[in-house]
Amino acid sequence: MTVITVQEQHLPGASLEEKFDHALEWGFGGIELRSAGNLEFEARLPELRRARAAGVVMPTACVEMSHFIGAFDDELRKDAVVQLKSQLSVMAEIGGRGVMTPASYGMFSRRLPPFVPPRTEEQDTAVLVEALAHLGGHAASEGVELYLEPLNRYEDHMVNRLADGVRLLKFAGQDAVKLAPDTYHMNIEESDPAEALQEAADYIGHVQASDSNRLEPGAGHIDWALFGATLKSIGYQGTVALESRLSGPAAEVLPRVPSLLGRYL
Amino acid sequence: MSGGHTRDARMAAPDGRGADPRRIAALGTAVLEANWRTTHTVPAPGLYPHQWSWDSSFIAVGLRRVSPRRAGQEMDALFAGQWDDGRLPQIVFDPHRDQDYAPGASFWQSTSIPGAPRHAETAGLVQPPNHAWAVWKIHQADPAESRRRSFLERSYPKLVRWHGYLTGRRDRRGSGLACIVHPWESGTDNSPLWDDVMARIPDDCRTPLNRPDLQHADAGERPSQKEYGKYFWMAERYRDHSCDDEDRDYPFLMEDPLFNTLLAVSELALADIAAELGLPAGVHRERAQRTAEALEQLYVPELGCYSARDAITGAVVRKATVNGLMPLLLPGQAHADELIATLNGPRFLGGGA
Repeated sequence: MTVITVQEQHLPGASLEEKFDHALEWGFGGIELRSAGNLEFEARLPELRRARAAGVVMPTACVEMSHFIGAFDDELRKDAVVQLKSQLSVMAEIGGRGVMTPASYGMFSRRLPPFVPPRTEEQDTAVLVEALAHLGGHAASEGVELYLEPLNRYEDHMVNRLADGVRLLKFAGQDAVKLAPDTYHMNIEESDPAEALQEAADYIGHVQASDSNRLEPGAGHIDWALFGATLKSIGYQGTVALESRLSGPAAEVLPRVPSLLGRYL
Repeated sequence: MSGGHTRDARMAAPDGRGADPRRIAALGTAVLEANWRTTHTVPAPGLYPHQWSWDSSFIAVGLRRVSPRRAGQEMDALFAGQWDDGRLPQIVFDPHRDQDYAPGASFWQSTSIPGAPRHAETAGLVQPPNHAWAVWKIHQADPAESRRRSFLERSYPKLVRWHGYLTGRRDRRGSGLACIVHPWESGTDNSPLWDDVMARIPDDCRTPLNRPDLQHADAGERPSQKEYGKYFWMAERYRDHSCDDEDRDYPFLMEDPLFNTLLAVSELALADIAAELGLPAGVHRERAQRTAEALEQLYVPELGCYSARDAITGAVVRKATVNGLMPLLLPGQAHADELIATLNGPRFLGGGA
């Protein structure tokens, strides 16, 4: 059965151990960490090591940063790479699978003013391939993976559909860099989410689940049966992490999610 | 889709035996998803690029294990092609694929036929009535999703009209059995059951036979040009009479045991659907019983199974085929023991094939 994890900020508790207890109680199998910039994730190592020793399951981390590998600004881009390298090493040390990042988030959208980005598509590709190649090499040497998450067109202009991500991964040619589809973004961008997952199957390393309205699975109109059947069909071996806003108090709405998704996974 | 081919090769056992059931399910899911066309599923992307009637029911029965929502949508798409007289057409055409299958939308010109749907291009023929059977199974796979979509409420009246067409206009002998007017309506197009009647069908159709099917399959796997001439001759005649089932001298009227068994099975499913909706169910059980009783006219003791009857000559075809075993699907079947013996006997499973 696929392990379903929940992001740490949703869980009550003063420590990761306490959060994990709540996660288990609610039917989840682990926690997805949030990895912040300024090397703050590395600074959490004592906390993370302790949690790991106590049996807390933490397979993945999702970046919580203000600039990313696709940043227009050269310095910010370089810093994002520095942060991710550090985060990948941290995950390696605590026995995790990897870290997920978008190309960028909230920096630019072709659907919103000023509509035309300051950089060409070719330049976007070059920048991203360079970052992925560098990070992919580092991830491989640490025995972990980097997951690239396509975002919908309003949140990023560079990688919106799974096929966009696969194209970049092929250019980068790094086995340790994979795709992380998120069902909320796919619902906006893909003609057929099931077909998109089938087409990208060989490149998928992590999955995030969120409903059509960015609320927790079950609070929108995504076809979860189809989602689960498709993950099984492609032989997906990773975890499914819950990244969403909540339709009500966490203790009330989150416990419904593992039983909903678990029916199909 | 090279990634998919790699996966297929890894998953399939060389001879199909001993394959892990989960891997078979995974491959089946992949095929269903690859053949989904926004609102329905095509039986084959090249050879059968439209929506076929009884295929969609079987597909939906499988699809309910992948997505009950899609399974319901599959049936909705077919029902959208229903004619005023209640018939569900053999094919609902994708107008963008009309070069790839014949006879297609340009042959049938259904929007010019009185009573055909205005907003869909369809064939005028039908296929075996497995639809209510599928609808009930889809509902059972996820009753909450079904209710959310008002699936039974919307499907029930359409299914009632469909069965009404078959038991009304298609009961050409007044025997209580529905007639098919073309081998394609049987779902078992090339059955030996149709050989005798086909011998007297002319093959000089007017439509040029371009045979798009030969782009997708070997000629050895497809009907011959002469057979196609007969198929088209019948389709042309039926179409030219506006598919009105009033053509007195139409030469192909067969009462098929498979077709009528599925009608009875689907009528029983209608009883379940009606009961679920709080509507009278007894009328459906009575109709199913009447069809089951009428089926007895098709039983051939010497063969130990049922067969088809030529509704024009009154002659029962003396051939044992899988169609004749289908009445085993009916509860309380009068000849169940004989059918099972025939199924296990030298003509079928015991034949060492």
